[in-house]
Amino acid sequence: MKLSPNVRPNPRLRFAAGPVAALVALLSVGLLLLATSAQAATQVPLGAADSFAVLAGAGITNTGPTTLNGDLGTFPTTSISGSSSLTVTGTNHGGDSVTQGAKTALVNAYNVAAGQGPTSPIAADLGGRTLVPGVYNSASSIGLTGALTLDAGGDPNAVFVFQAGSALTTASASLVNLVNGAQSCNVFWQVGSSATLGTGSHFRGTILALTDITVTTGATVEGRVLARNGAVTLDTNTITRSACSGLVASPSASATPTARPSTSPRPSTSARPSTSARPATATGSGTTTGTTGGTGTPNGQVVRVPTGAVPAGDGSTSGGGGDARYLLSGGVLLAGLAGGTILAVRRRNA
Amino acid sequence: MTALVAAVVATSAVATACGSGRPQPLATPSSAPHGVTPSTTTSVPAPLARSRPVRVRIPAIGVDSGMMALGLQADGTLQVPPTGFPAGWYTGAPTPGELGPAIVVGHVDWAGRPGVFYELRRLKPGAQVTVAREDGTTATFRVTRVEQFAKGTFPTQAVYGDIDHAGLRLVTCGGAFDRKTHSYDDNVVAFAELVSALPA
Repeated sequence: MKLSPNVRPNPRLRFAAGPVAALVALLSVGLLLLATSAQAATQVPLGAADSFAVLAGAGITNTGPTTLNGDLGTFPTTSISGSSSLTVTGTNHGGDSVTQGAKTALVNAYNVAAGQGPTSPIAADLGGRTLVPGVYNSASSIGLTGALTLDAGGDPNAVFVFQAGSALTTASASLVNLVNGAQSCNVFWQVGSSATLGTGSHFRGTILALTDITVTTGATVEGRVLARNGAVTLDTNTITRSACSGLVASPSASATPTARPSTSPRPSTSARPSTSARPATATGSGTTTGTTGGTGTPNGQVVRVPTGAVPAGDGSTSGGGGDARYLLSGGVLLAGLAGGTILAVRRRNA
Repeated sequence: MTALVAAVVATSAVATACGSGRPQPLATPSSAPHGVTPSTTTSVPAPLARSRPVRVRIPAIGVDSGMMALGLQADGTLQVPPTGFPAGWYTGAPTPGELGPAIVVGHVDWAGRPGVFYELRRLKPGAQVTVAREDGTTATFRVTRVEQFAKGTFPTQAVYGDIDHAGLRLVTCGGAFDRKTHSYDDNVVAFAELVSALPA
């Protein structure tokens, strides 16, 4: 249709270009922010469960001489049988409040491990495979016959998370090898039902199982066996809770011992998580104590300096949260733009 | 007056230590760590001997909590209490009242409810914090500053570094909560220093 020279083009159309472009840009940005980004496996926080080598829900049964390096406890069933042949470097917490706190922390750790992704599928037995850090998932069971090698590629902080929809079963004499900086403290096995470790096998990592964990005759674990609802059965095993080597050692000038009061007398009460300030397995030069001599680093009043920040909240009172925030601010902006457009059009036509 | 307080503190600390049969050296500013300049103010009380904290009170924000012992997690990060209450103290650091930075941590929220340190971000400089210790002494601190740090650049030196007095760092989470990473963006840290101590 031919426009009369005296008729202006529809003013709404002229104004539409700016706001619409801005809206499109905003939506694109919003979508980018909402899109999930690929993540590597991250450390699973064990909280109060960290100090435990064995944790159960339905009791602990032991046969034969078993050595545990770490705490043990079980709740709500508090029975532990065969404890006379248990050699424990750690505390038997039974069903006390420390165990209860650890059980709560175990549920959280289980959920954190189960929720990690994106995942690589486990299609077959893990035996004979070499895996890089990441999250590995089987919708059903996970089996290990032979040797599994976990290769951290030189990164001592690299994490491996295994998720099993149902059971974890390792065969007799199977083993988990750690190479190139992989540490058992960074290996987690989230098991949807029960875990069974074969006779004479050598396992590494922390097992977070929903139901039972059975460590059969002669099997060793460098890590933890933590069962939520089921029982833990032991038979002539050695289970050593693994602690990562902490701070990366800076070039340390000779740190003169500071005037610290006498080295820590342990609190006498048992109502504590009983995690020592030093690593459970001191490995000589590989273990740092946080005492470095540089001007920009702590000097020793804090015996072992924690790494990173402090996770002190679960966000349950934080209202809108991370994702909703962007939608909310986007919505407010949209409303503002729409209002501005209408106002301008009105003025034009007035 | 300050000297009297210090003398009383020193006497009671020694008496307590003798009573328990375990001598605990009294750390004083004169034995400050290598490379740290001792405080020149004379109103600062002598730091106390090591003694487990049993209670922390912050009247300005209604905190009155027992204390649990905290260590390190397997990855070297600071352990935190398993629930919203109580607060906890890091066993790898000086106890509140000793020379150096004592570390006390509490959740800002947990399981849908405010945690023990929910109001920490509203604490103001000058506020009082008292810590009751196992040996019966009470250490009183005064807040000097309250800051919020992005977790990605947590100020390790400022929080855990050596200092020339008996200090206290109260730590909780703050800022926005990132649901993707299940963690708060920031840490809120209230720095405080010992201003007085009461004997048992």
